[in-house]
Amino acid sequence: MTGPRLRSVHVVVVGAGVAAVRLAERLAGHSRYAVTILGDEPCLPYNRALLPSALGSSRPAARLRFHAASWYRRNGINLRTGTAVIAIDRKSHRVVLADGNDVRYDVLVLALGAASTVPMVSGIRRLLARRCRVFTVRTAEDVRRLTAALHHARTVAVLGGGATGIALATGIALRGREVELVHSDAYLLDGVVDRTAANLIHTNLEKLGVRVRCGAPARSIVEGSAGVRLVCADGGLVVADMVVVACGARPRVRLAARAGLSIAEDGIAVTSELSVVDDPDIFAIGDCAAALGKGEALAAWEHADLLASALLGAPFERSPFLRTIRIHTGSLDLAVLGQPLAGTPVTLHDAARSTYKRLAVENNRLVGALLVGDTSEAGRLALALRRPWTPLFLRGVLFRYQDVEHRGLLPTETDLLCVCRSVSVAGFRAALDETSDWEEACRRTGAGTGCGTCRTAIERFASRYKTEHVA
Amino acid sequence: MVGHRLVEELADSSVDQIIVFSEEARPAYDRVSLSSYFDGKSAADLSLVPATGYPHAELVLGDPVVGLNLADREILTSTGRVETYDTLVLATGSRPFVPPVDGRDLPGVFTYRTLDDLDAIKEAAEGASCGLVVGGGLLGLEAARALRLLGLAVTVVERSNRLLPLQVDDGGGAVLLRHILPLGIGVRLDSTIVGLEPGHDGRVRRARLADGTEIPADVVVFAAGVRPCDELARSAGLEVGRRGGIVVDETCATSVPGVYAIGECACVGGIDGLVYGLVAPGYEMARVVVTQLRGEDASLGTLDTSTTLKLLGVDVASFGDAFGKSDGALELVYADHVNALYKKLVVSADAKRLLGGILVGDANDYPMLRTLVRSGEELGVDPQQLLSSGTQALPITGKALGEDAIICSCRNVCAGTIRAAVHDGADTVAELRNCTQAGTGCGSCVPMLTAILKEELEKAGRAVARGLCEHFDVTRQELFEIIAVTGIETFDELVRRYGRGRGCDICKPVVASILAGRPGSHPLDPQTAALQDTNDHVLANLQKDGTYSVVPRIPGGEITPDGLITLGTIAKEFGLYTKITGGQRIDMFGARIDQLPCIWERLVAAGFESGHAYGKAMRTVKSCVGSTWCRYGVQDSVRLAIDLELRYRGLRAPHKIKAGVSGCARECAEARSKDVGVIATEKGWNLYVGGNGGFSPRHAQLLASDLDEATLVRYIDRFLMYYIRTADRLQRTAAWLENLEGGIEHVRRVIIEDALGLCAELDAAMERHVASYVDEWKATLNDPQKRARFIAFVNDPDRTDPSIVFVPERGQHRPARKGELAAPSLTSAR
Repeated sequence: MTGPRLRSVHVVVVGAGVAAVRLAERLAGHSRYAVTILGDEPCLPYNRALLPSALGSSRPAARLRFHAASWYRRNGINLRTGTAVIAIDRKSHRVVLADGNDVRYDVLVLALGAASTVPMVSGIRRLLARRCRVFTVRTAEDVRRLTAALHHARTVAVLGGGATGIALATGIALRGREVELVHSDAYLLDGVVDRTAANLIHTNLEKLGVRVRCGAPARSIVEGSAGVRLVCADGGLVVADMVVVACGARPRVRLAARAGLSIAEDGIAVTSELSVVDDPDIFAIGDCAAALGKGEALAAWEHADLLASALLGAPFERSPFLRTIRIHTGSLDLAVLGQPLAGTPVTLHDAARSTYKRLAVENNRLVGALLVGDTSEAGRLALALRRPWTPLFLRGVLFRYQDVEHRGLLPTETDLLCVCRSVSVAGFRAALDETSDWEEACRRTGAGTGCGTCRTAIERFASRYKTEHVA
Repeated sequence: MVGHRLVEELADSSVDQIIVFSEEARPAYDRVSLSSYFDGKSAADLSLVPATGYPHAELVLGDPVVGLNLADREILTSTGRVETYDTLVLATGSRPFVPPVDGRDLPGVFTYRTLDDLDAIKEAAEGASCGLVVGGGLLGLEAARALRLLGLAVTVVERSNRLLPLQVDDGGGAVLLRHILPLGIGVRLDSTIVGLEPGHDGRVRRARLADGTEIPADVVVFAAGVRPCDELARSAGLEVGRRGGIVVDETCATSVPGVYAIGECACVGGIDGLVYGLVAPGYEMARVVVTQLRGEDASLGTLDTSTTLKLLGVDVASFGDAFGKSDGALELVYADHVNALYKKLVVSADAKRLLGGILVGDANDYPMLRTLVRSGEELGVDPQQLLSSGTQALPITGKALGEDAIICSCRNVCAGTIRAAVHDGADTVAELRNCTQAGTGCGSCVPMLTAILKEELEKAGRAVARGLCEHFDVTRQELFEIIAVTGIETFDELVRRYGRGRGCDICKPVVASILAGRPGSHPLDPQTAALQDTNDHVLANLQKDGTYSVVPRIPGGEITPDGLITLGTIAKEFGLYTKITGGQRIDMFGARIDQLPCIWERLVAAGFESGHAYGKAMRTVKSCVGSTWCRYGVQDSVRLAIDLELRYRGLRAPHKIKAGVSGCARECAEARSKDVGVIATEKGWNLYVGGNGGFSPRHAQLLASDLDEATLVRYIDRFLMYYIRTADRLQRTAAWLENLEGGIEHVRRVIIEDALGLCAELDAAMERHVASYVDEWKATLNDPQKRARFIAFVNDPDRTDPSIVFVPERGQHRPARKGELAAPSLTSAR
């Protein structure tokens, strides 16, 4: 007769987005934890951060999906799509589903994400509710609908000149539509890039056919017979067939609030270990949590990694969060890493090539990088960003004529060569040993198939590995 | 200063009488270096005029001209003196502009222009603690420095949003501030003074700014601009500019004949023309007037407003269209706030020409960049490269060099001499070397010589000779082909059919080297012996005292104890000085020419052969210990090095060839600095090529990796043969690679992929070399005719050279130096 079997801990994750999948990846294979993912969208989990790039695809969710259904099965992850959670019963450790059933949990992880912010434009809510002229972009379904609607539109207005707005505006312009981008602040991506970069981006957008209006937000919207009219704060008028809203996102907290959990200004209140302040068995990760570095996929991954390590009892080396913004559509090539506006700048502006590069140094470390027009070094810089800087290396990055490889800045074993797909140096090297062709190794490991920023660094890594590896 | 320059330049002219009337009581002094007055320089140090005055002019101090009677050509001074003139030159300069603020006349308020001003400031600074400078331009920062030197705490108030607003832009200003602020100088930008207020002693105590704030100030210096001193001209009816200044045309003539104006008082180019506040344009104006007074025509070209200065320890340069105002101008800006460096280049719309620039923090590139702007020629490189590497990025050109620039430092030859030689008919580098001696020392100036030669020939419309020398119009590569194809075996036949004349010290050794590649040839064969360079001529290295050195080959640097003993014995027997060389072999010095065959007889008998240390040939293949003994060695580097050296010994080439083999990545054999470098890997060998030491060292580049030995050797064979066939005379592999179109990639295609279909030929050529190798010294010893050459005096075969004298040093000996020759000392044993 066998002894009492140790029951595995049942982890229920509400939400099937970026953070949820990453947590599942980390816990997969550990028999101690049984994971159930409850996602309200009907499709397999996909990388929401890359949605703007899926514009034009008829099946964006499939294109961006993380794993095939078989992967979840193989790893013992109970994935239930199309399953909305409407309440949490903390006392009895259950979540209540929309269809009336419930699911019991030992550990509950809220990965609810964020919802598109609706800007203060009078008349816009009504139009959004009618789902015809005004679109938000948060889900794959939103993108599919948007793509379909574009077929009948000639002119499009995009509200919001942040990373998403710019990505959408360029994507739509490349599909041959006239685009007008309305941004309330003085310049595009302000607070993220400096004036010089914003001007370059602005010029680039104009070249792509995107008209940019900065400094005055839209104030009201009225539907006419042939489209909509937006009136901006400075009296300017924008007429378009349709409007896309990209004015940021706010955390989805209603489920938590209704369950009596504390809500902070920027999400569900959590401790530094991502545990909800009011309940030791509930955690919150990703955009819904009031934790550092929100709004970025990378932050969601960090949260998931941190929580997984805590659950597994493994040490987690908390590296400083590295924000990454990458836009590469048409002639607009932009990469923002870390905090380029912090510290002391080193810049190179080449008007002949229309490129601008800014590096930020603080306390002898590189803390941020901003590349416009030539982002080929983004991969190397992402690796360098956590290390002490050297003028020699950085000059080689800024100026394209000195290909100086500084030993101290080569990736180490534990570095992630590809952050999006979480491919480590060791993992990639193993793939290289098998195939010796770096592009094949990328296909096998998934490295470089996310945002693509790391591809140049990977190529360099691979060629160096080939020529100089010594026992 | 400008007036002084004019007077100076008139020194031995035909002008009869020169009278100089000066407002100041001092003769001309260096106003640009005014601040050095506080650095310990005295008024006398700054004076430009000797104490005895001008030998050719009358200098009247402290008596300014107060009236002009242009109709009668008369001047009137303050003391009532009247003089008539044929030519009047107005060089009255400018005066400081003091804005009309309250309190500007309070004691303790000064301007910064004359030595008297400085004396007054110095006096006021004693006992004062706070200084204020109004104006953050060149003069203002100089004044700030002066006040600091006098021990005051200084604040500079500038109206514009940056310091040096006329020289640098916003970005440059920001970087400049990073240099200035740490010096403890306070800076208030976008600020104006609205009033100065006194303390209870009646002297200035504080300043009020437009924004309402107050700054304490015991000493106030106004450096807020200058106004041209044109009152004299105005009252006399001369045309003056709209913003002041005496209007002059491009010959510096004013509106009245016989009257010129130069320097800061002049307004060039009509009433809306420019007043230049810098000394360089002023000097140019003086030159123009002097030339006319000497009877020739002259006019102003574009006036150069480039400035470079070291201000408060900061290098700043501003030149050309620094602010990018030209139509379509594009800017490249590098702003390094961490190292406080700012470099801006303004280029034309097609990015091909440099229009101007601003440098802060490092102005080393200023001379070359300024020349590029003035010449207007195309850059020829990506401007971004110019920004990053500075002038090193530019192709070598002599255009920026003035006549006095020294080109050859060994022989102290300047650019002017070289240009003159070209104009006199020299049209090859060889001829330049012959007539000017430039390039006959270390040779590192030859690229510049070549550049200047090309430039001068182009200017004169003459063709550039690309041939080897005056005797051959073809290049070395072409000669190689010719000899290979025609099978010509003697120099005489070659020069008769394909050249002219009788040959020289350039072409003869080149042909000798090519002919040496033929199987069975020997350098001392009748047809080649006379072609050789000094060393090859006697198969030994000539030393400074007329003796020779002997270097037997020690392949791979490996030698048995018996071998060492043999060498030691021979050295002792012949009284030779021994030293281990960088090539891992042993060099024996002090052999007389007549001793050489005897020494080599002994060496050959003991199994040694020539090391070719005297030739443009394969020298050595260095090795590290390798896997046989070393803990880290991955492959047997010693064996490979020996094999390679035995394979390539005797191979003659455009220049010496050095190789190295390292047994692991630690690279103890320093293979990366060799023409051919081999480094062991787990899987085989990595092949590096094109490394050179010497004057301008370069590291070898990776050609191929993880090669098995057979492939490695084949590639080295081909590399060496390709180099020998196509390099220029005396061109080492690094230079050859650099000049090869396509560089190492091209070499890879030719050698590995056989893109030119040459590999079979190259392989065969190397096979021929290996098959036909014979030790030169052995062959020499066996040939009485060759052996007979080794005598000191052709007409007295038994006499040895009496001037060879040695003195002892560190247990051995060395050639005696000049003063030591008298003393009797060690001479060689036989």
